[in-house]
Amino acid sequence: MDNFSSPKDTHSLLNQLQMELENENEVRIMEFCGGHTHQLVKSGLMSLLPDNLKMIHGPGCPVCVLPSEHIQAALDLLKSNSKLVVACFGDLMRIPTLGGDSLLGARSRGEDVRMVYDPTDLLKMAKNEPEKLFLFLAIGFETTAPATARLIYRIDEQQISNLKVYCLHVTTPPAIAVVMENLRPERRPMGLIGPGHVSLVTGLDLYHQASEKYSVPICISGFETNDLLTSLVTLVKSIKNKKNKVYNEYTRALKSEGNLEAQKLLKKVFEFRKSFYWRGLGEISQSAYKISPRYKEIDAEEFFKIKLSKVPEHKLCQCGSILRGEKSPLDCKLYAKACTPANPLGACMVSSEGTCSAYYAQGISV
Amino acid sequence: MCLAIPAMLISIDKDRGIVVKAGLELEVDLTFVPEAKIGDHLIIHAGMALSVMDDQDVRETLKLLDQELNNG
Repeated sequence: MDNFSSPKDTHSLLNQLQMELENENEVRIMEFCGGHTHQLVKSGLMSLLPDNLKMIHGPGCPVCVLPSEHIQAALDLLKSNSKLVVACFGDLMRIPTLGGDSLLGARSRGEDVRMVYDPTDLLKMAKNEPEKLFLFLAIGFETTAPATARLIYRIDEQQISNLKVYCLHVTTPPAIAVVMENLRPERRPMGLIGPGHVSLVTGLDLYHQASEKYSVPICISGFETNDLLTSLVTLVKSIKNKKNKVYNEYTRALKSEGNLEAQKLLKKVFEFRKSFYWRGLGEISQSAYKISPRYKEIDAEEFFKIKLSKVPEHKLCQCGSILRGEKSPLDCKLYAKACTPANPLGACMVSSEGTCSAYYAQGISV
Repeated sequence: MCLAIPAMLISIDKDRGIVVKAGLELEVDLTFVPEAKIGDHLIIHAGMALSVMDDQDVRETLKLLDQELNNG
Protein backbone atom coordinates (compact mmCIF):
# COMPACT_ATOMS: atom_id res chain seq x y z
CA MET A 1 0.00 0.00 0.00
CA ASP A 2 3.05 2.22 -0.36
CA ASN A 3 1.40 4.09 -3.24
CA PHE A 4 -0.92 5.78 -0.76
CA SER A 5 2.14 7.53 0.64
CA SER A 6 3.80 8.49 -2.64
CA PRO A 7 5.59 11.86 -2.14
CA LYS A 8 4.60 13.00 -5.64
CA ASP A 9 0.91 12.54 -4.86
CA THR A 10 1.37 14.10 -1.42
CA HIS A 11 2.83 17.19 -3.04
CA SER A 12 -0.02 17.46 -5.56
CA LEU A 13 -2.69 16.89 -2.92
CA LEU A 14 -1.14 19.56 -0.71
CA ASN A 15 -1.28 21.98 -3.66
CA GLN A 16 -4.91 21.08 -4.23
CA LEU A 17 -5.72 21.66 -0.57
CA GLN A 18 -3.91 25.00 -0.68
CA MET A 19 -5.96 26.05 -3.72
CA GLU A 20 -9.24 25.03 -2.09
CA LEU A 21 -8.39 27.05 1.01
CA GLU A 22 -7.14 30.15 -0.78
CA ASN A 23 -8.95 33.30 0.42
CA GLU A 24 -11.00 31.24 2.89
CA ASN A 25 -11.45 32.05 6.58
CA GLU A 26 -10.22 29.55 9.17
CA VAL A 27 -11.46 26.01 8.52
CA ARG A 28 -11.43 23.67 11.53
CA ILE A 29 -11.37 19.92 11.09
CA MET A 30 -11.18 17.31 13.83
CA GLU A 31 -9.59 13.93 13.34
CA PHE A 32 -11.38 11.75 15.89
CA CYS A 33 -8.95 8.84 15.86
CA GLY A 34 -5.60 8.82 17.64
CA GLY A 35 -4.19 6.76 14.77
CA HIS A 36 -4.92 9.65 12.43
CA THR A 37 -3.37 12.13 14.90
CA HIS A 38 -0.26 9.97 15.01
CA GLN A 39 -0.02 9.79 11.21
CA LEU A 40 -0.67 13.52 10.74
CA VAL A 41 2.20 14.37 13.06
CA LYS A 42 4.57 11.54 12.11
CA SER A 43 4.28 12.23 8.38
CA GLY A 44 5.07 15.90 8.91
CA LEU A 45 1.69 16.91 7.43
CA MET A 46 0.84 19.04 10.46
CA SER A 47 3.62 21.46 9.59
CA LEU A 48 2.77 21.47 5.85
CA LEU A 49 -0.97 22.19 6.03
CA PRO A 50 -2.17 25.66 4.98
CA ASP A 51 -2.20 28.18 7.86
CA ASN A 52 -5.97 28.65 7.71
CA LEU A 53 -6.62 24.92 8.18
CA LYS A 54 -6.74 24.17 11.89
CA MET A 55 -6.63 20.54 12.97
CA ILE A 56 -8.32 19.74 16.27
CA HIS A 57 -7.25 16.43 17.75
CA GLY A 58 -10.05 14.21 18.99
CA PRO A 59 -10.47 11.78 21.89
CA GLY A 60 -10.07 8.58 19.84
CA CYS A 61 -7.25 7.11 21.89
CA PRO A 62 -8.56 4.33 24.16
CA VAL A 63 -5.56 4.44 26.48
CA CYS A 64 -5.98 8.20 26.89
CA VAL A 65 -9.68 8.14 27.77
CA LEU A 66 -9.40 5.25 30.26
CA PRO A 67 -9.42 6.58 33.83
CA SER A 68 -6.52 5.28 35.94
CA GLU A 69 -8.85 3.80 38.53
CA HIS A 70 -9.27 0.68 36.37
CA ILE A 71 -5.49 0.18 36.29
CA GLN A 72 -5.39 0.79 40.04
CA ALA A 73 -8.04 -1.92 40.47
CA ALA A 74 -5.86 -4.39 38.52
CA LEU A 75 -2.79 -3.41 40.57
CA ASP A 76 -4.76 -3.94 43.81
CA LEU A 77 -5.89 -7.39 42.60
CA LEU A 78 -2.27 -8.33 41.81
CA LYS A 79 -1.28 -7.45 45.39
CA SER A 80 -4.02 -9.55 46.92
CA ASN A 81 -3.83 -12.60 44.67
CA SER A 82 -0.48 -14.32 44.18
CA LYS A 83 -1.85 -16.60 41.43
CA LEU A 84 -3.07 -13.71 39.33
CA VAL A 85 -1.70 -12.93 35.88
CA VAL A 86 -2.79 -9.59 34.42
CA ALA A 87 -2.68 -9.49 30.63
CA CYS A 88 -3.20 -6.46 28.43
CA PHE A 89 -2.22 -4.72 25.21
CA GLY A 90 1.19 -3.06 25.37
CA ASP A 91 -0.18 0.48 25.42
CA LEU A 92 -1.88 -0.11 28.73
CA MET A 93 1.29 -1.11 30.58
CA ARG A 94 2.55 2.41 31.18
CA ILE A 95 -0.60 4.30 32.20
CA PRO A 96 0.46 6.04 35.38
CA THR A 97 -1.74 5.73 38.41
CA LEU A 98 -1.61 6.77 42.04
CA GLY A 99 1.95 7.61 43.10
CA GLY A 100 3.26 7.00 39.58
CA ASP A 101 2.71 3.23 39.72
CA SER A 102 1.77 1.30 36.56
CA LEU A 103 1.40 -2.26 35.30
CA LEU A 104 4.93 -2.00 33.95
CA GLY A 105 6.07 -0.99 37.42
CA ALA A 106 4.27 -4.00 38.87
CA ARG A 107 6.02 -6.27 36.37
CA SER A 108 9.40 -4.85 37.30
CA ARG A 109 8.59 -5.73 40.94
CA GLY A 110 8.10 -9.34 39.86
CA GLU A 111 4.31 -9.40 39.50
CA ASP A 112 3.01 -11.49 36.60
CA VAL A 113 1.92 -8.90 34.03
CA ARG A 114 1.93 -10.03 30.40
CA MET A 115 1.56 -8.14 27.17
CA VAL A 116 -0.53 -9.67 24.39
CA TYR A 117 -1.11 -8.69 20.78
CA ASP A 118 -3.79 -11.29 20.04
CA PRO A 119 -6.10 -11.81 23.04
CA THR A 120 -6.90 -15.36 21.94
CA ASP A 121 -3.26 -16.28 22.79
CA LEU A 122 -4.55 -16.23 26.36
CA LEU A 123 -6.62 -19.35 25.71
CA LYS A 124 -3.44 -21.37 25.31
CA MET A 125 -1.73 -19.70 28.28
CA ALA A 126 -4.69 -20.37 30.57
CA LYS A 127 -4.84 -24.01 29.52
CA ASN A 128 -1.08 -24.51 29.90
CA GLU A 129 -0.99 -22.89 33.35
CA PRO A 130 -4.11 -24.16 35.17
CA GLU A 131 -2.66 -23.15 38.55
CA LYS A 132 -2.78 -19.48 37.50
CA LEU A 133 -5.75 -17.15 37.25
CA PHE A 134 -5.70 -14.88 34.20
CA LEU A 135 -7.29 -11.46 33.98
CA PHE A 136 -7.45 -9.74 30.59
CA LEU A 137 -7.91 -5.98 30.61
CA ALA A 138 -9.92 -5.39 27.44
CA ILE A 139 -9.82 -1.84 26.16
CA GLY A 140 -10.38 -0.18 22.82
CA PHE A 141 -13.08 1.22 20.57
CA GLU A 142 -15.27 -0.80 18.20
CA THR A 143 -12.18 -1.89 16.25
CA THR A 144 -10.89 -3.96 19.15
CA ALA A 145 -14.15 -5.04 20.78
CA PRO A 146 -14.73 -7.89 18.26
CA ALA A 147 -11.41 -9.52 19.26
CA THR A 148 -12.55 -9.47 22.90
CA ALA A 149 -15.99 -10.76 21.94
CA ARG A 150 -14.32 -13.62 20.09
CA LEU A 151 -12.13 -14.35 23.12
CA ILE A 152 -15.16 -14.48 25.43
CA TYR A 153 -17.02 -16.69 22.98
CA ARG A 154 -14.10 -19.13 22.86
CA ILE A 155 -13.55 -19.11 26.65
CA ASP A 156 -17.19 -20.13 26.98
CA GLU A 157 -16.96 -22.69 24.17
CA GLN A 158 -13.84 -24.29 25.62
CA GLN A 159 -15.07 -24.03 29.24
CA ILE A 160 -11.90 -22.34 30.48
CA SER A 161 -12.47 -21.34 34.10
CA ASN A 162 -9.17 -19.58 34.91
CA LEU A 163 -9.47 -16.73 32.37
CA LYS A 164 -11.62 -13.67 33.15
CA VAL A 165 -12.19 -10.53 31.12
CA TYR A 166 -12.50 -6.98 32.46
CA CYS A 167 -14.43 -5.30 29.66
CA LEU A 168 -13.59 -1.61 29.30
CA HIS A 169 -14.51 -1.13 25.65
CA VAL A 170 -15.94 2.23 24.65
CA THR A 171 -17.88 3.36 21.60
CA THR A 172 -17.38 6.21 19.16
CA PRO A 173 -20.73 7.99 18.59
CA PRO A 174 -21.30 9.17 22.19
CA ALA A 175 -17.76 10.61 22.30
CA ILE A 176 -18.33 12.52 19.05
CA ALA A 177 -21.55 13.88 20.53
CA VAL A 178 -19.88 15.07 23.74
CA VAL A 179 -17.07 16.81 21.86
CA MET A 180 -19.43 18.51 19.39
CA GLU A 181 -21.85 19.63 22.08
CA ASN A 182 -19.28 21.00 24.50
CA LEU A 183 -16.74 22.84 22.39
CA ARG A 184 -17.08 26.61 22.17
CA PRO A 185 -18.41 27.71 18.75
CA GLU A 186 -15.07 29.29 17.79
CA ARG A 187 -13.31 25.98 18.45
CA ARG A 188 -15.97 23.59 17.15
CA PRO A 189 -14.91 21.52 14.12
CA MET A 190 -16.62 22.29 10.80
CA GLY A 191 -15.84 18.81 9.48
CA LEU A 192 -14.78 15.48 10.95
CA ILE A 193 -12.33 12.85 9.77
CA GLY A 194 -13.99 9.65 10.93
CA PRO A 195 -12.08 6.63 12.21
CA GLY A 196 -11.28 4.18 9.41
CA HIS A 197 -10.79 1.03 11.41
CA VAL A 198 -13.70 1.58 13.82
CA SER A 199 -15.84 1.95 10.71
CA LEU A 200 -14.65 -1.37 9.27
CA VAL A 201 -16.70 -2.89 12.07
CA THR A 202 -19.57 -0.42 12.53
CA GLY A 203 -20.14 0.70 8.95
CA LEU A 204 -21.22 4.21 8.01
CA ASP A 205 -24.78 4.39 9.34
CA LEU A 206 -23.83 5.74 12.73
CA TYR A 207 -22.27 8.85 11.18
CA HIS A 208 -25.34 10.01 9.25
CA GLN A 209 -27.14 11.01 12.42
CA ALA A 210 -24.11 12.91 13.75
CA SER A 211 -23.54 14.65 10.43
CA GLU A 212 -27.15 15.84 10.34
CA LYS A 213 -27.40 16.74 14.02
CA TYR A 214 -24.19 18.80 14.14
CA SER A 215 -24.36 20.06 10.55
CA VAL A 216 -20.91 18.79 9.62
CA PRO A 217 -19.55 16.65 6.82
CA ILE A 218 -17.84 13.48 8.03
CA CYS A 219 -15.24 11.71 5.91
CA ILE A 220 -14.03 8.25 6.88
CA SER A 221 -10.36 8.01 6.06
CA GLY A 222 -7.62 5.44 5.69
CA PHE A 223 -4.36 5.89 7.56
CA GLU A 224 -1.78 6.61 4.89
CA THR A 225 -0.59 10.17 4.34
CA ASN A 226 -2.43 10.56 1.04
CA ASP A 227 -5.60 9.02 2.51
CA LEU A 228 -5.63 11.82 5.06
CA LEU A 229 -4.93 14.50 2.48
CA THR A 230 -7.65 13.18 0.17
CA SER A 231 -10.09 13.26 3.08
CA LEU A 232 -9.07 16.81 3.96
CA VAL A 233 -9.65 17.94 0.35
CA THR A 234 -13.07 16.22 0.35
CA LEU A 235 -14.04 17.85 3.65
CA VAL A 236 -12.86 21.34 2.69
CA LYS A 237 -14.80 21.17 -0.60
CA SER A 238 -17.85 19.94 1.30
CA ILE A 239 -17.57 22.68 3.95
CA LYS A 240 -17.27 25.33 1.22
CA ASN A 241 -20.33 23.94 -0.58
CA LYS A 242 -22.24 23.54 2.72
CA LYS A 243 -22.87 19.87 2.03
CA ASN A 244 -23.17 17.89 5.25
CA LYS A 245 -22.69 14.41 3.93
CA VAL A 246 -20.91 11.25 5.04
CA TYR A 247 -18.06 10.30 2.70
CA ASN A 248 -16.13 7.08 2.46
CA GLU A 249 -12.55 7.71 1.34
CA TYR A 250 -11.44 4.28 2.54
CA THR A 251 -13.37 2.24 -0.03
CA ARG A 252 -10.52 -0.20 -0.54
CA ALA A 253 -11.26 -1.70 2.89
CA LEU A 254 -14.51 -0.23 4.17
CA LYS A 255 -17.94 -1.49 3.17
CA SER A 256 -20.77 0.90 4.02
CA GLU A 257 -22.55 -1.75 6.11
CA GLY A 258 -19.37 -2.55 8.11
CA ASN A 259 -18.58 -6.08 9.20
CA LEU A 260 -21.91 -7.80 9.82
CA GLU A 261 -20.36 -10.94 11.35
CA ALA A 262 -18.48 -8.83 13.91
CA GLN A 263 -21.59 -6.76 14.66
CA LYS A 264 -23.55 -9.96 15.27
CA LEU A 265 -21.02 -11.25 17.79
CA LEU A 266 -20.78 -7.88 19.55
CA LYS A 267 -24.55 -7.92 20.08
CA LYS A 268 -24.41 -11.46 21.42
CA VAL A 269 -21.53 -10.99 23.85
CA PHE A 270 -21.95 -7.40 25.05
CA GLU A 271 -24.60 -5.01 26.22
CA PHE A 272 -24.35 -1.28 26.87
CA ARG A 273 -23.46 0.01 30.31
CA LYS A 274 -25.91 2.59 31.62
CA SER A 275 -23.00 4.97 31.93
CA PHE A 276 -19.20 5.02 31.81
CA TYR A 277 -16.70 7.58 33.06
CA TRP A 278 -14.20 8.76 30.40
CA ARG A 279 -11.06 10.70 31.22
CA GLY A 280 -11.58 14.22 29.95
CA LEU A 281 -15.13 13.70 28.72
CA GLY A 282 -16.71 12.68 32.02
CA GLU A 283 -19.69 10.42 32.56
CA ILE A 284 -21.35 9.44 29.27
CA SER A 285 -24.48 7.30 29.13
CA GLN A 286 -24.64 4.25 26.84
CA SER A 287 -21.03 4.79 25.79
CA ALA A 288 -19.32 1.54 26.77
CA TYR A 289 -19.82 -2.20 26.61
CA LYS A 290 -20.18 -4.64 29.46
CA ILE A 291 -20.26 -8.41 29.20
CA SER A 292 -23.75 -9.76 28.73
CA PRO A 293 -25.19 -11.74 31.72
CA ARG A 294 -25.12 -14.91 29.63
CA TYR A 295 -21.29 -14.83 29.94
CA LYS A 296 -21.23 -13.61 33.55
CA GLU A 297 -18.86 -16.39 34.67
CA ILE A 298 -16.19 -14.85 32.46
CA ASP A 299 -16.89 -11.29 33.62
CA ALA A 300 -14.05 -10.11 35.87
CA GLU A 301 -16.24 -7.42 37.40
CA GLU A 302 -18.57 -10.14 38.71
CA PHE A 303 -15.82 -12.60 39.60
CA PHE A 304 -13.50 -10.23 41.46
CA LYS A 305 -16.28 -7.90 42.67
CA ILE A 306 -14.19 -5.01 41.38
CA LYS A 307 -14.71 -1.78 43.30
CA LEU A 308 -13.26 1.41 41.90
CA SER A 309 -11.82 4.25 43.92
CA LYS A 310 -11.17 7.57 42.25
CA VAL A 311 -7.51 8.12 41.34
CA PRO A 312 -6.60 11.81 41.20
CA GLU A 313 -4.88 13.10 38.07
CA HIS A 314 -1.77 15.27 38.26
CA LYS A 315 -3.00 18.77 39.10
CA LEU A 316 -1.29 20.42 36.13
CA CYS A 317 -2.07 17.70 33.58
CA GLN A 318 -4.15 19.01 30.66
CA CYS A 319 -5.11 15.61 29.19
CA GLY A 320 -8.80 16.27 29.87
CA SER A 321 -8.84 19.56 27.94
CA ILE A 322 -6.74 18.05 25.15
CA LEU A 323 -9.15 15.10 24.81
CA ARG A 324 -12.08 17.52 24.64
CA GLY A 325 -10.35 19.35 21.80
CA GLU A 326 -10.06 22.52 23.89
CA LYS A 327 -6.29 22.64 24.22
CA SER A 328 -3.14 21.44 22.51
CA PRO A 329 -0.18 19.78 24.26
CA LEU A 330 1.66 23.08 23.88
CA ASP A 331 -0.81 24.63 26.34
CA CYS A 332 0.32 22.21 29.09
CA LYS A 333 3.07 23.28 31.51
CA LEU A 334 4.15 19.68 32.03
CA TYR A 335 4.51 18.81 28.32
CA ALA A 336 8.07 17.86 27.31
CA LYS A 337 9.35 19.03 30.68
CA ALA A 338 8.13 16.94 33.61
CA CYS A 339 5.95 14.79 31.30
CA THR A 340 7.75 12.79 28.61
CA PRO A 341 7.17 9.35 27.04
CA ALA A 342 9.86 7.93 29.36
CA ASN A 343 8.08 9.40 32.38
CA PRO A 344 4.46 10.10 31.43
CA LEU A 345 2.41 12.01 34.00
CA GLY A 346 -0.74 11.97 31.90
CA ALA A 347 -2.29 9.31 29.69
CA CYS A 348 -1.98 11.36 26.47
CA MET A 349 1.80 10.96 26.75
CA VAL A 350 1.57 7.15 27.10
CA SER A 351 0.18 5.73 23.87
CA SER A 352 1.79 6.66 20.56
CA GLU A 353 -1.73 7.66 19.51
CA GLY A 354 -1.98 10.12 22.38
CA THR A 355 -1.71 13.69 21.13
CA CYS A 356 1.09 14.60 23.57
CA SER A 357 3.13 11.52 22.69
CA ALA A 358 2.68 12.13 18.94
CA TYR A 359 3.77 15.77 19.32
CA TYR A 360 6.74 14.82 21.50
CA ALA A 361 7.95 12.10 19.12
CA GLN A 362 8.20 14.67 16.35
CA GLY A 363 9.95 17.23 18.51
CA ILE A 364 7.06 19.70 18.44
CA SER A 365 7.78 22.18 21.21
CA VAL A 366 6.55 25.51 22.50
CA MET B 1 -4.74 1.04 19.51
CA CYS B 2 -6.86 1.02 16.39
CA LEU B 3 -3.78 0.35 14.30
CA ALA B 4 -4.51 -2.39 11.79
CA ILE B 5 -2.30 -3.76 9.06
CA PRO B 6 -3.03 -5.04 5.58
CA ALA B 7 -1.53 -8.49 4.95
CA MET B 8 -1.96 -11.22 2.34
CA LEU B 9 -3.72 -14.46 3.20
CA ILE B 10 -1.61 -17.46 2.22
CA SER B 11 -3.39 -20.38 3.88
CA ILE B 12 -6.73 -21.22 5.45
CA ASP B 13 -7.58 -23.88 8.04
CA LYS B 14 -11.29 -23.53 9.00
CA ASP B 15 -11.58 -20.25 10.91
CA ARG B 16 -7.80 -19.73 11.20
CA GLY B 17 -5.47 -18.46 8.52
CA ILE B 18 -1.88 -17.46 7.95
CA VAL B 19 -1.14 -14.02 6.56
CA VAL B 20 2.18 -12.66 5.42
CA LYS B 21 3.39 -9.09 5.75
CA ALA B 22 6.90 -7.96 4.93
CA GLY B 23 8.09 -11.56 4.97
CA LEU B 24 6.65 -12.27 8.40
CA GLU B 25 3.93 -14.87 8.85
CA LEU B 26 1.15 -14.37 11.36
CA GLU B 27 -1.74 -16.58 12.39
CA VAL B 28 -5.09 -14.80 12.31
CA ASP B 29 -8.72 -15.51 13.10
CA LEU B 30 -10.96 -15.47 9.99
CA THR B 31 -14.35 -15.70 11.75
CA PHE B 32 -15.41 -12.23 10.62
CA VAL B 33 -14.31 -12.63 6.98
CA PRO B 34 -15.85 -15.93 5.82
CA GLU B 35 -15.54 -14.70 2.22
CA ALA B 36 -11.71 -14.45 2.41
CA LYS B 37 -9.74 -16.42 -0.19
CA ILE B 38 -6.06 -17.24 -0.49
CA GLY B 39 -4.32 -14.29 -2.12
CA ASP B 40 -6.73 -11.70 -0.64
CA HIS B 41 -5.35 -8.78 1.32
CA LEU B 42 -6.95 -8.61 4.76
CA ILE B 43 -7.00 -5.85 7.36
CA ILE B 44 -5.75 -7.36 10.61
CA HIS B 45 -6.25 -5.98 14.10
CA ALA B 46 -5.44 -7.74 17.38
CA GLY B 47 -5.22 -11.10 15.63
CA MET B 48 -8.60 -10.72 13.92
CA ALA B 49 -9.16 -10.16 10.21
CA LEU B 50 -11.75 -7.38 10.02
CA SER B 51 -12.02 -6.76 6.30
CA VAL B 52 -11.08 -8.14 2.89
CA MET B 53 -9.53 -5.41 0.80
CA ASP B 54 -10.89 -4.75 -2.62
CA ASP B 55 -7.80 -5.02 -4.83
CA GLN B 56 -9.73 -3.68 -7.80
CA ASP B 57 -10.67 -0.65 -5.70
CA VAL B 58 -7.04 -0.14 -4.68
CA ARG B 59 -6.02 -0.06 -8.34
CA GLU B 60 -8.89 2.22 -9.36
CA THR B 61 -8.30 4.63 -6.47
CA LEU B 62 -4.64 4.96 -7.39
CA LYS B 63 -5.53 5.43 -11.06
CA LEU B 64 -8.13 8.10 -10.26
CA LEU B 65 -5.76 9.84 -7.90
CA ASP B 66 -3.13 9.87 -10.57
CA GLN B 67 -5.53 11.21 -13.23
CA GLU B 68 -6.97 13.90 -10.96
CA LEU B 69 -3.56 15.09 -9.87
CA ASN B 70 -2.18 15.12 -13.42
CA ASN B 71 -5.20 17.09 -14.62
CA GLY B 72 -5.14 19.41 -11.60
